[in-house]
Amino acid sequence: MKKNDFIFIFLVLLVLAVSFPVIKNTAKGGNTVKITVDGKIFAEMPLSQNCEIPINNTNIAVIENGSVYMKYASCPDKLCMHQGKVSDSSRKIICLPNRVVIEITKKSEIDTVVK
Amino acid sequence: MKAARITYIAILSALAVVFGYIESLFPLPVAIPGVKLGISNIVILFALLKMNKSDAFFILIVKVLVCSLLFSGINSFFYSFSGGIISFFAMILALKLGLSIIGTSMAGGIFHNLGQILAASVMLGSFSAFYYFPVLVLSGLIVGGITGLLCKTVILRLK
Repeated sequence: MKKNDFIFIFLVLLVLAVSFPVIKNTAKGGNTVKITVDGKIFAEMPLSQNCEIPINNTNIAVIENGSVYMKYASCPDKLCMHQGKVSDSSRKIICLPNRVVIEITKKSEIDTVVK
Repeated sequence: MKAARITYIAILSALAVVFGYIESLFPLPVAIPGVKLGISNIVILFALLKMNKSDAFFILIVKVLVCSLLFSGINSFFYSFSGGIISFFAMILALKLGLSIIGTSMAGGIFHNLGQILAASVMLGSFSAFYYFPVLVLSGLIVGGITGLLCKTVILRLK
């Protein structure tokens, strides 16, 4: 290990020290489950309502007792199923093969905006 | 192209693919997409240090193509490809900046993960994947350190 290595490691740790709280702080409590597929909103459901949401025959998300988890995924690695239950916006469930993102947001007071 | 050079490229490509296979057999018990050992990066780093850039690049392309076709599915090709390319240029830059083998490997690991986040952002059409940024940078640092240490050991033994 050379001196430059330690400078590099220091810089990386600095980036981590800055980025970690930034990402943590974007986390706030929410009341709506937002499911996006391919970057487009697929469904928005209240977190309080227990239900099963099939997503395009590829995934099944379940809302249960104020948290959401992925019950089924068609991809081989099933990483999103292992990501567990999510109840606030500090964590997301991401299924990369099927391009599904499940996150918890705060629903605004405005229902829809007519353009 | 001399026969010796072709042979070295072939052997190292095969070795990189085998490492990729071994890795696909033992997924790490972490539910974060992108966290893995990256042991085949030992081969790429070795080729960068002991052969030349174009040979190392060739081995990288063969490794990414064969591994995603055979083991991990075509879905992962896009991620491995962007991760591999970005990590490759990061390692060249790290060597130019005078980092040791271990430091270079760490840079490779971090930028491999960064490349995957970028690819995921393109695929998902959003920046949701940046949520994993700190974890993936840290895992790239640790895992890169381990593979760099292994690569250094290999190079010392081969003298």
